[in-house]
Amino acid sequence: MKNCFKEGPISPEFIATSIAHHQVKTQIGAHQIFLGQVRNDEIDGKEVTAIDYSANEELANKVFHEIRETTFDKFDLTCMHIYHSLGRVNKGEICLFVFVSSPRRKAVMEAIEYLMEEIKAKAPVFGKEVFEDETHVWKENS
Amino acid sequence: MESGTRKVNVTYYGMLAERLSIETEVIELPAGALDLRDFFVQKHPDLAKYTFSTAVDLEYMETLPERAQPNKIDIMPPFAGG
Repeated sequence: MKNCFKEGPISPEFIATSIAHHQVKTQIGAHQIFLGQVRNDEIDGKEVTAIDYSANEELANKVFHEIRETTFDKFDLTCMHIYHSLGRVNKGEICLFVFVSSPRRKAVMEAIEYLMEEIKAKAPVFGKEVFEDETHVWKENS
Repeated sequence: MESGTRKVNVTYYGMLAERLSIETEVIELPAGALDLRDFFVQKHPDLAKYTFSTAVDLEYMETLPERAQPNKIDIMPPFAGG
């Protein structure tokens, strides 16, 4: 099963390279990308400087695989890629990269929305919001 | 394994591992079907304060069937991916 996790932030170079790799797939007419970025929220007067991600990796990779299969069944997609960070990701850095491609625009726009809802609801990924003084609180998807 | 006893590896994740000060343990499950939340709250009363989900052998599950012989149970806090 594919490992969807990458240690640390997802670099802009990695994202650009992923896009470039699709230039040979000339049946594709539309890409849609979602990038999750660590936000410097203020919590009880303290600023979040990073999120430290951990996961139930084996279950999460299985869940990502199932989400991918379901999404391919529901939408007319050519390609789909999901990458999530593990470990520390500083504010402003990318922690999630979801990339779908299709011959048509409508499919990718609908698919990315569906994928994001599924990932947030079902993927066992956990996050510690770390403050400047290295104290932390645990993040929870709303 | 004795009839009626089920030993299983349990892993606690994220906030729950931190708050309970435990990451893994081997426990013996009682015979019969089992409400996993109730069972683990009884075992670790502090868990009653938290929302958590359970998975058995990589399947989300709330109730363990009577005859199940699981290898692994995961106890997970709310998700925060993305």
